[in-house]
Amino acid sequence: MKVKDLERTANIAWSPSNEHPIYLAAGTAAQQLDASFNTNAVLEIYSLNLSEPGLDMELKSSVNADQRFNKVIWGGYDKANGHGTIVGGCDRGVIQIYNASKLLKSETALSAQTTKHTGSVHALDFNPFQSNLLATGAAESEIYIWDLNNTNAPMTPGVKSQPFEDVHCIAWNRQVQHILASTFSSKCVVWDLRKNEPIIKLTDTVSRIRWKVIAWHPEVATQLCLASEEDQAPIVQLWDLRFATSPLKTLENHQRGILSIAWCAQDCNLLVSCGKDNRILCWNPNSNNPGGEVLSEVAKTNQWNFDVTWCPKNPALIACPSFDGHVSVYSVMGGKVQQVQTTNKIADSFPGMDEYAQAPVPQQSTPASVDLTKPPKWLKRPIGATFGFGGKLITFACESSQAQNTQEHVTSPLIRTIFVSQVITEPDLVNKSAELEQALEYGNFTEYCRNKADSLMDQHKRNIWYFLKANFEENPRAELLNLLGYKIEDVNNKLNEVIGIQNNVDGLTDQFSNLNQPGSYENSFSLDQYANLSQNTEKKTTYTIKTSDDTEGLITQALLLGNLEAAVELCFKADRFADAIIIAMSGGPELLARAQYRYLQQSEGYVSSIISALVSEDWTSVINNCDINSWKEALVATLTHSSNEDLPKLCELLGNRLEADGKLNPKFAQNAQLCYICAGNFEKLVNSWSDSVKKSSNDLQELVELVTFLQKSVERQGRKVEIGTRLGDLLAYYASLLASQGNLSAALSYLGNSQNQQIGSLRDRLSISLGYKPAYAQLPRSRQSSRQSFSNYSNPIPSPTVPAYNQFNTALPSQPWQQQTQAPPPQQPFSPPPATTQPPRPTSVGSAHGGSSVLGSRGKYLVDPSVQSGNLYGGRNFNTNPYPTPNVPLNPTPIANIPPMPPLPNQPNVHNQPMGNVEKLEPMPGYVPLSTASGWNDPPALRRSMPRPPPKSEYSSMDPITHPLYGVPTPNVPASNGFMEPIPNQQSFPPNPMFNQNFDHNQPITQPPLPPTTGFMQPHPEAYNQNFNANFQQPQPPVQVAQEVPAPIEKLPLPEEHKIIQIVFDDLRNRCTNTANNPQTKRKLEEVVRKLESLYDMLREDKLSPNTLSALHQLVQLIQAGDYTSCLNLHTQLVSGPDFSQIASFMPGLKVLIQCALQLQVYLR
Amino acid sequence: MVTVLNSIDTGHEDMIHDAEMDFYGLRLATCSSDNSIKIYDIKNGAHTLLEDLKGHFGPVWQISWGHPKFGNLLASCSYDRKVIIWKEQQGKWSKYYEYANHDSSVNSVQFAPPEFGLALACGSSDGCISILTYHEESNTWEAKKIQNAHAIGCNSVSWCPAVTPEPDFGNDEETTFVRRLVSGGCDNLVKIWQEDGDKWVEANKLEVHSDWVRDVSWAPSSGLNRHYIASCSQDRRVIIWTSEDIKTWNSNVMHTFDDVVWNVSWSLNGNILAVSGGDNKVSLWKQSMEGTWMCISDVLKGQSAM
Repeated sequence: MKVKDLERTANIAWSPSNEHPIYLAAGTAAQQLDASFNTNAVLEIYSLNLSEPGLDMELKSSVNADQRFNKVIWGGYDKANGHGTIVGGCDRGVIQIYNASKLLKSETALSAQTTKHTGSVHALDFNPFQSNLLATGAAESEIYIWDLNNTNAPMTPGVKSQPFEDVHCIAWNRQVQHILASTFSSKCVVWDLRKNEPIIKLTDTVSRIRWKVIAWHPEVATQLCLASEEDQAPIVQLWDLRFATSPLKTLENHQRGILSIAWCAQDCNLLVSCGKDNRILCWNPNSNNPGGEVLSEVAKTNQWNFDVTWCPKNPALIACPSFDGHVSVYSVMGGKVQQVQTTNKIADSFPGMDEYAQAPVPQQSTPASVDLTKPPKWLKRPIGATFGFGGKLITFACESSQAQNTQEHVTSPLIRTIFVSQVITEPDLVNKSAELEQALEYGNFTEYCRNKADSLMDQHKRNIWYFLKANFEENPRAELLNLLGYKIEDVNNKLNEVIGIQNNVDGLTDQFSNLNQPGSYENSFSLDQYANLSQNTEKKTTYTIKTSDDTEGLITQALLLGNLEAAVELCFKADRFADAIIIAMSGGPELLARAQYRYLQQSEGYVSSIISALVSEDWTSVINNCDINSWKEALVATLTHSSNEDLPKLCELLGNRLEADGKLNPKFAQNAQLCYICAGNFEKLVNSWSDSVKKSSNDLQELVELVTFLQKSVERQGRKVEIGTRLGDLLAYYASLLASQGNLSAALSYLGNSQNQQIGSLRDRLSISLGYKPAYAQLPRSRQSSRQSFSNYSNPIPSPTVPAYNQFNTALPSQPWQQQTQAPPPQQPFSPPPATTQPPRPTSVGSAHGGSSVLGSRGKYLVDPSVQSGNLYGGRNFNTNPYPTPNVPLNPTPIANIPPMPPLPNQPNVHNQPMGNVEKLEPMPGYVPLSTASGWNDPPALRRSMPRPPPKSEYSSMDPITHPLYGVPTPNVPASNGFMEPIPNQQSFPPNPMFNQNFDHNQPITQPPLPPTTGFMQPHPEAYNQNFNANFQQPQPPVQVAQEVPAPIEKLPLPEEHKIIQIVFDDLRNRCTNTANNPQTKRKLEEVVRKLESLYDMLREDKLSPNTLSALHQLVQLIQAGDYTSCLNLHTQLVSGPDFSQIASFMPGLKVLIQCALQLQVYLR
Repeated sequence: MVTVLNSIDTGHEDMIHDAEMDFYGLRLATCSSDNSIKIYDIKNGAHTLLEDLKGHFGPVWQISWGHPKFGNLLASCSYDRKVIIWKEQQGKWSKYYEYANHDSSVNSVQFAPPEFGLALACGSSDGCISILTYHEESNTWEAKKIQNAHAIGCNSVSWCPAVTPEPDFGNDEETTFVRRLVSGGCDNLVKIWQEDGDKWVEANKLEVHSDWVRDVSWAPSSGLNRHYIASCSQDRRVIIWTSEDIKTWNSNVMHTFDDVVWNVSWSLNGNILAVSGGDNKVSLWKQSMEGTWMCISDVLKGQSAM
């Protein structure tokens, strides 16, 4: 596509590659006349001006020259770090040297002019390595090498070649600086300047050729292209000087002689040529196509193009001067030709000469876009990096830029490899978040708070954490008072000292201990107590009752007649306040209240205010009216006296006051935060927190920790946690930050259940990304299932906390979701899968069963976070099963008086079970240990009765904690925490498989519950009837039958994507077992089963890191390919990797298996 | 801190030019000079080839995932002058729409943020930018073309985020957004385009680079009231352009590298910039509190050197 156009017949040169912007120097061409017969010579500089639309270039400067030009070149040589040097070759042996900087300023720029040469100077070239070296060639085989620092004495490269001819072209080698090539009509001579002689002469004896131009390969030092201007042989030849007897390639497409060629410095697969057939062609000179490969016909013009050059800076551009009076700049990248506005400047300047001007300029435009059939190198982006959701970085790169040239490198693995990395920019945040998650998971709040407080330097922040910690103490209020400087015992002791009455201490302490339940606090002085007291202290003195009319007498009279109201009034008048109150107390609550009110009205001072508050139970006034400096005392009073309902409000009120005064004293603002903590008010706390949280992730983390713990404490108080907008936003922001660090599951737990669209979409994105929700399919609109875990903030019941996985393994979904992701897609049949794809796994049956019956192995299944959240209730670690577990206290060992648990024929393979047990069970008569894969043979009757596993999704969507069905407690299970103490009569019951720890309600259960000896089992069938199918309702077989029938309780199937692992490993192991003939190997392989089972369990529970998983899949592929050596290598690699602790339980087994397979020469195919 | 989680041998037979994760990070699409596009399932650190799309007749330069609310769409652009939108239906990917109205290599393609509707911008070596917008009522794609956006070629296009910068998670109101684009090209310019009625007009012409602009990337909204655009160039520089009002832009040379810079890419929350250079280096940059840009990590072949 033509990009720019200049109406000149000129020799041109691009500015050097370091020049910006791009200029084009144009010197009037010699031997040409324009329509005006002008013989002036000018040297002009144009700016390419690409950013402007249109074909015009901007003329930057123009100087008149003495001579017209045969060739113009522009090199970087410039002592003043300017724009370089422009050299023109002229007729009569003249060489003109211009300073480009001066030229651009339109100053006198001619810095030197020599006339050493004979004849016309057509050949010019700057040395690409030493910009001061200039080679020139003219008539009579003259070649000079000039040092621009001193142009007086040029050198010669050697003896002039014979016969004397015009030097058409001269070119320095692009790789080796002292090699120079020159063309004459009949030959090409290559000189070595160090030897000062020609080192090689190229002549083509076969065809009639007139060499015109030479171009060195930009990268391969020994290769060059020669173009012939001979119309009979308009060819370009590629020569390699190492094999200089004949050309390597011949490019044939021009119809008439070639006038110029140019090799692209940026892409050596591009060479342009122009010729007397008026065409400009772009070739791939390295192509092996016979006759050469034309990548495009860049342009077809009206006249000969006598030169072509690549723009050194912009590789897509070539400039072509032609004899029709144009210098055109073309892009080889194609595109539509712009609308050409032909302004006929000649005609403009010479009115009346239209007819001359018009003749040779019938503008033509090629409508079709012309681009290269193969993309140039500069379009090929060799490297890139993009970010993905969750802080993932995807990178790819080419080995090196040279690799692109040679085909064999192209398919090297590195080029095709893409890396997915986790980017963590906030490692502190991630670590702290992990600590937080862990603390939440284990429920050791107090300890966390203490550690946190101790780790902080800031006293205020320490206070905050101590306040939070107090909330988790057994007696939060006492602890808070303590923190405020009121240690109850100390104060009491002090009071006692002052009062000096020992026997009241008990009463006081009682009273104070009641503070812990302020709601139930009542006036503890009863009449009985009074009676007791009066008895103890009664003085045995006699007195006379006076009824005179003085105050005392009047009071006596009023008392005697029971006019208490009057008595009180009289007392008040006599300032006998104590008497008044005591009398009023007997006069009923109304009177008392009035009396109290009146007393308090009359008395002055803060003590009375507090008494007033105490009496009226209205602490608001204290909080509102106390001096703000007494906030601490006000808070103490509030904590001591107010009810659970009032406390938050009052604390908040105090906080508000403090915050309002925070402008005066920043201390108050901080104290306000303490009040908000006491109040459990998130919104206020967040608001009062500095605004820096959005900028500093540390501050944010701190606030989130604070809020999280406050939330826990509020939950502990049984209050509903309400999340306001501000906090919701903050948590959402925190979540997005966590997500950006790849901590997706933790992020999800902070998102709350806000209906905000943005939060909602982030939530969806997270859950889909974690695999909790199906992606890509039509998303189910009901999000009920995914809501559960977000209910953190609205649900007073602590919801499952997502366990803090290693932050690098965040792709691991947390456990409760895993059930969902494992749920088979609906189209999958629920009937037992065919044995070939999923052989029954008696081993897992055994272990599942054994796991539940052996206490020691329980821990293995305690991975469900929802289970672990049980901790939050009271931090009791043993109560980890949220499901009602009526018969959890299973007796691990069979009891003598009842037939032992039917031994499972395949139990030898049970892992995690004490060996003693296994051995005890194994030798049971009538059962031969069966091969795991093929040997499974249930009695047909049983197989038929095997229930179809109900659709899992039905179950997984249920709330794991509060499912009504399983929540029904069995009547004869002690409601208290009897779960650890075996109840005597329960010992006689065999374990009920349905209540194993996993609670696999979707397991096919072939063994009906064993017949009960008491009514103990009765409720269960009913409970399950709704979910399991009918065979549970069938009469239960007698014990004997049950004993003979193994209980193949299958574990959950492996996640779909990992099934292959199981299939391959099991298959390999079976084949090995079948092949193995020495007992030692067989024993080893049995060991392997156990290890494999451990692996499968981990897969089921999704405990493995993505790295491990991918390695396992790789291992499986290698096994399938029979490449055991690589398997072992990979194994070693894995074991020495970072996940060792995670995989230690099964890796040895895999090694044994692979070694056995290698030894026994067992291959899967 | 950069930790390699997964390395995927794509099996491409020639250079890879782009690799993009989908919205959820569950799939990875790659494209290559071998004319093909591959889609991988990368859930849980595994990688399974799901699809090998062959429909282009030239190197595929760039790919872009559509937002899942429009279905599962992937757009690709190629040296063969075509833009293809692929769609997954019933687990199979097939050609959904093909746009062949460019006269030269299409170098860049990007789906618009979903708030702008289903739309796609393409930049081509013919100097034009096309904006394709899907109209649901008529089930058609409407193409608008910016002619001569960049002389001798547009190398990259990137959409302005739809979120007008304001505290994130703020209001839910539906606002009508002005659609904007940034583009970079062989004329060394970075240009900002704005939809005005039924035309696209040049809003800004940013001229600092001294060589081809290889890539431009408009940062996703970081929640701060400021727009960021990163551009990288053959001149070995990365420039960060900032604006408070999307009208006036300030330039700041982030760094001058040792080699040409091919690619700039923002993290999803717009605070980290990944820069890929011709010296085979990827580095991660972050703006400090004081406003200076710091290299926080060098990634070599996916391995980190912090």
